[in-house]
Amino acid sequence: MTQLYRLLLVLFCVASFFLLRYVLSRPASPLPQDSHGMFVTHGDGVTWYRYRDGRVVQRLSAARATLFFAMAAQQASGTFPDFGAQPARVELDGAVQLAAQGHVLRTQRATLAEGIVSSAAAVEIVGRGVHLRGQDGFSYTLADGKLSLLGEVEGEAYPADRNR
Amino acid sequence: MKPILLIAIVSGTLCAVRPAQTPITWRSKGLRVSTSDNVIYLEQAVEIKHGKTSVRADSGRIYFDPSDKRLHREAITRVVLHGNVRFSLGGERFSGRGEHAELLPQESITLSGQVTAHRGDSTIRGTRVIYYLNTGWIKVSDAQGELRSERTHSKSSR
Repeated sequence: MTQLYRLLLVLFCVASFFLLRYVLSRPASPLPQDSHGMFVTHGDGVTWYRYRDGRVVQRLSAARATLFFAMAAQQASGTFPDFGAQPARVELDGAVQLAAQGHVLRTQRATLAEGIVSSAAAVEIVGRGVHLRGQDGFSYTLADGKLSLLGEVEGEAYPADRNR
Repeated sequence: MKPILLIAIVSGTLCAVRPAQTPITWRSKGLRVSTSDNVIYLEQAVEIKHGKTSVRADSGRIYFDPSDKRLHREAITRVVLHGNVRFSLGGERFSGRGEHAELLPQESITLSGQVTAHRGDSTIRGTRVIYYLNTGWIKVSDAQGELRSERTHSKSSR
């Protein structure tokens, strides 16, 4: 009986070794190691990632999204491809959120086209001690992170402590 | 024992409590952010407020320290304003106007250009006026026109 237990223990260790090696050999996420953005669909919504050196540096998500492709219409078979051709335009609706450089931008509707996220809806940006609010829309360039808020804008931030 | 414990708790609480920092708030018509040089550009009808300090101008820039190590957040290092600058400090009854202004939070505000500043009953004119927020001192550079206190006597300087 003791020999049986020993055999089972050895088999268990060997199986664990191979299983662990298999798990560790798989990439942590399916993100390629370049800076192209990519879409990942989930339910009705979509999340767009821009990554650099394998790390997500920008993330744009919404509850609902409509993707417009500048090519022949693709048959929707239940899921959109996670990789591959990028849409020419994406209409985002509901809980639109853009996270980049420690800041989070929130609005209700936005459009992503030609590398620019834009909207005419009210927007709020928070993060790293800075708070911005705009009522008449914004535009954000994904390539360089340049942000413009239109119309009446309010903001607040804390002064640097000069008594250091 | 109990009074000593109570005193220790109260003292520790008072030491731990720091006066909360007052945020700087702003309003404008239009805003652009440049993350590469940590600047917010305020485009029109700018109004900056920090505590009792209030400044208005046609346009402005807010400069940030992107990694304030003490606050662990982005923090404003200075504010520069251009065009039709109007400054006021409540309580001190100090106000002024000029063409440009530079606000160093919790330190000073510098008005430049054709500056006219009022403090109480006194009027100061010059090309550069610095008001030190901590001490209330005023420094006038290249004074032109007149320094007048209507309560006592008039004095001209060049």
